[in-house]
Amino acid sequence: MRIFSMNSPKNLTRLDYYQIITSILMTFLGGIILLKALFSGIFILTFLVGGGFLGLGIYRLSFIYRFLKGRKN
Amino acid sequence: MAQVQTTEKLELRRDVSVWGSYMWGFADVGADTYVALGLVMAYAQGAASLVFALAGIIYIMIGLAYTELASAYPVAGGGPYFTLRGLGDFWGFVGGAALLLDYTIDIALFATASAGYLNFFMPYIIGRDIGSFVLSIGPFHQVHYFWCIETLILISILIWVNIRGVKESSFLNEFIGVLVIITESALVIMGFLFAWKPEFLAHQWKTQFPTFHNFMYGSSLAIISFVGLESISQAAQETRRPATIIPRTSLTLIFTVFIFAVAFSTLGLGVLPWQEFAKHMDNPIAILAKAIPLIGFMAGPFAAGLGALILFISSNTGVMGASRLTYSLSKFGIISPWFNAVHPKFRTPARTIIIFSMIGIVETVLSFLTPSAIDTLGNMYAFGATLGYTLVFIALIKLRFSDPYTPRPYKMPLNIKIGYKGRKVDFPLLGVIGMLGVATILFMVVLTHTIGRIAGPAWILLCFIYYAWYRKKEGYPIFKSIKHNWEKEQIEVLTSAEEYDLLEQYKNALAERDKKRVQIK
Repeated sequence: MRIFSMNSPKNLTRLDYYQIITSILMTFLGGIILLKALFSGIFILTFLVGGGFLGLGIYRLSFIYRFLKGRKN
Repeated sequence: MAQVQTTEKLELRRDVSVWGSYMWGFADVGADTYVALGLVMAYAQGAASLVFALAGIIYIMIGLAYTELASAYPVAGGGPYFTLRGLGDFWGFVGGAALLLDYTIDIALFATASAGYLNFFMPYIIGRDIGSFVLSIGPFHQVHYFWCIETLILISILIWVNIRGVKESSFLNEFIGVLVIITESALVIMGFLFAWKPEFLAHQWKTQFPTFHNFMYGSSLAIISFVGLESISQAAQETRRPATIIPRTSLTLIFTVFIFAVAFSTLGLGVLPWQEFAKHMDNPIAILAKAIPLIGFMAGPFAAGLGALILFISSNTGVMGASRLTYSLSKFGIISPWFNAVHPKFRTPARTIIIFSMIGIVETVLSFLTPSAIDTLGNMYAFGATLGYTLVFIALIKLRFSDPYTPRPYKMPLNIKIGYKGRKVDFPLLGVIGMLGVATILFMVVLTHTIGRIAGPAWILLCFIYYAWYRKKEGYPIFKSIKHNWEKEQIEVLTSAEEYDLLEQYKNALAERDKKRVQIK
C-alpha cells in the first residue's frame, strides 16, 4: 500500500500528515493494549487487537521513515 | 444502436481534492458504526469484536474491488455501472434495484438513527426517556410514535433542502469529517487508556458467546457498518486525475473505517456489558462515550450531538445517491429518463427526490410498527448491500476477461496469470475469495433475516415489473442488452477525467487488438 503521494514527494499533503499522526497513535495504542492485556491474563483476542494496532502502526511508520530518509538523501 | 435520450445532461464538476475525496467517503461510511454498534452487539453479544472483524475482512476485499473498478471506470454510477459493463443490462438493472433499495433504506435508517442520537438529550431536556413515548395501534404494540415523528420531520427537511438545491459545502463536510475523526480517535484512545478492562472482554467472550443463529445474524448485520462504498465512485467522477487519487484515498478510507469498527466493538465489550448497547440501540456510541472516566460527562453529549449530525448527513447521501443512480441508469436505457426531469425553478431532480424519499418515509413508518425499527431497517439494508456487492465481484472477474484493454491504475492483489483467447489475463484470486465471502453473507441474510428475505426480493420483483414494462415499451430486450459503445464511452470518461496517459494506453491497446484481428483475418 502506498501511503505517500508519489507524484510530489517533496510536499506532504494533508492526507500524509493525517496518516503520520494516526500511525503514531496506532503504535502507541497497540502498546497500551498489549501492556494492559499482559497484566490481566492471557486472552488471545486482546493480544490480537493490541498486536494488530502495534503491527499496523509500525508498518506504516516504516513507510514514513523510508520516505523521510529518501527525501533527506 | 438504440438511442437513449435523457431530459437534461448534467455535468459534474471535477474539483475534489485528495483530502476532500477521503472526507467524502468518510462522511458516508464512517457514520455506519454509529448505527451498527448497538445492533450488532444485540445479536453477536460477547463475540461482537470477532463478528466486526470477520465482516470487516470481507469489506476490505469489497473496498479493494471498488478501488480497482472506480479508478478504471471513474463514473458516478458505481456498482450498477460496473455490473452493467461486465454482465449486461439485466444484471445492471438488478444491481441498480438493489442499490436503490439501499438508498431508500439509507434515508430511513440514518434519519431514524439521527433522531435516536437526538433522543439522548431527552431526559435532560424534558425529564422523560424516549421509551415512555409509546402506544399500541391495533395489533402493533410498543410503537415509538414520538421517535417516528422526529424521523419523519428529519426526512421532510432533507426533501426540502434537496429540492431547493441547497448544496452541502465541501468545507462543511471536511470540517465535520475532521471533527468526527478527532472525536472517535479521542474516544478510542481515552477509552483504551482509562476504561478498558481486558478481563471483562474475556469474561463476556467466554460466558456470553452467542448461539450459532445469533452469530450468523450478527455477522450479516455487521456488514452494514461498512456500507457506502459507492461514495468512492461518486468521488471518482468529481475528481481530477482519479487514477492517481482514488486508489490512495479509498485504501486509506477502507482501513480507517475497519480500524474504527473493530476498535469500538473491542473497546465497548471491555467497558460495558453488551446488554447496555442492546438496550441503547438508538445511541450506542454516546453510551460508550459517557462510560469513559474523566471525559464521559462531556464526551457523552458531544458524541450524541455529533452522531446526530453525521447520521443526518449520511441520510442525505441516500437522497443524493438515488438521484445520481437514476441519472446513470436512465443514460443506459435501464429506466426512463422521466425520472431526471428537473424542477423548473430550482433546477434540481425533484421527481427522484420526492419519489425515493417518499419510499423512505413508507419504510420508516412500517419499520416503526415492528418491535425494533433500527433492526428492521438494518435487516433490509444488509440484503440490498450484499446482493449489489456480489454482482460487483462477478463483474470485476468478468471484466478482467472481457475488457482487458481498459488500463487499471490499481489492481486487487493476488492475481494469477492464465491464458484466455490467445492472451494472458490476470485472474483475481482475491476477487473470487471476496465474492464467496459476500455471497456467504447474502446467504446468511436470506437464512436469518425474516423481514429482509421477503421485503428485499419483493422490492427487486417490483422493480423488475417496471423494468420489463419500460423496456418493452421502448422496444428494448428485457434479458439481453442494448448495444452500448463502451469504447467511445471509455474514451469520453478518460478525457473528461483528464487522464491523458491512461487514454493513450487505452487507445494503443485497442489499436494493438485491431491490428491482431486484421492479421488473423
